[in-house]
Amino acid sequence: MRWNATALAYATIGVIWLIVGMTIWAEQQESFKTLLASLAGHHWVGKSIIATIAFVLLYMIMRRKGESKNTLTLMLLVCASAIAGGIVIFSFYVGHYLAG
Amino acid sequence: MHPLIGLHAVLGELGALAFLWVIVELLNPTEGRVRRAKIVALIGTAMLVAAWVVGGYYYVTVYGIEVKPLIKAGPTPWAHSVITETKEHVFLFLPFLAALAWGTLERYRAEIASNKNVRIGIILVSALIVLMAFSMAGMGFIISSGFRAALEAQVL
Repeated sequence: MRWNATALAYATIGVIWLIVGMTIWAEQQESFKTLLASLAGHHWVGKSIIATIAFVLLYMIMRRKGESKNTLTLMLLVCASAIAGGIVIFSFYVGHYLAG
Repeated sequence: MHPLIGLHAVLGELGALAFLWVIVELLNPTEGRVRRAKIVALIGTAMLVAAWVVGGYYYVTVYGIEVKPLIKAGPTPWAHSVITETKEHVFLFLPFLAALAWGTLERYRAEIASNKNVRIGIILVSALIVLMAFSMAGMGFIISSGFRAALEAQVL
């Protein structure tokens, strides 16, 4: 099997922001957290399962497109997304904690 | 200290070291070094996935029931409310970043020595994996310190 690196990069970016979105949404909406928990007994496991399924689906969708010639730019976008996503999650929980 | 915590940490750090190895192999790639980098990246990805499963099992079955309430009632409740919450969610990025690094290595295995852009891209993602995995260890230390502070506060 030959991987499509462009599709992998887009799937990774999509999943990173999906995790960020699910994390914040679950803290803001108790009903969403309950829904996640109902999937597998715990909201974190629910997020893990959704993230894995989304990664596979995004990869399948994006691999129909050809390989980008600009792999370095894509990798930089992935790194920027991971760093920004981490900062957003950390900042959110700092704010959440300070707000009591 | 629960044995699953030790196993989670060992798997995570082995995953980080695997991607550090990938970086070293790609600094001056030859056919043999690219072949080794591919194998090590696959092993690193497997280690991070295993750390995810083991850490997740511990988090759901032990931490939430026995550790979290103590930390939250102790002198450093932020160790859970900020650090654990951040760690458990940012960790989820790692297996996907690892799969990306390994998959890109597989895809471009024949061109890596001549394609500088791809090589630098894989090195950057691998470096991010190493830094994030070691930052997870740092956060784990803070969480353990929060737990110990809570236990000490109960005893004293």
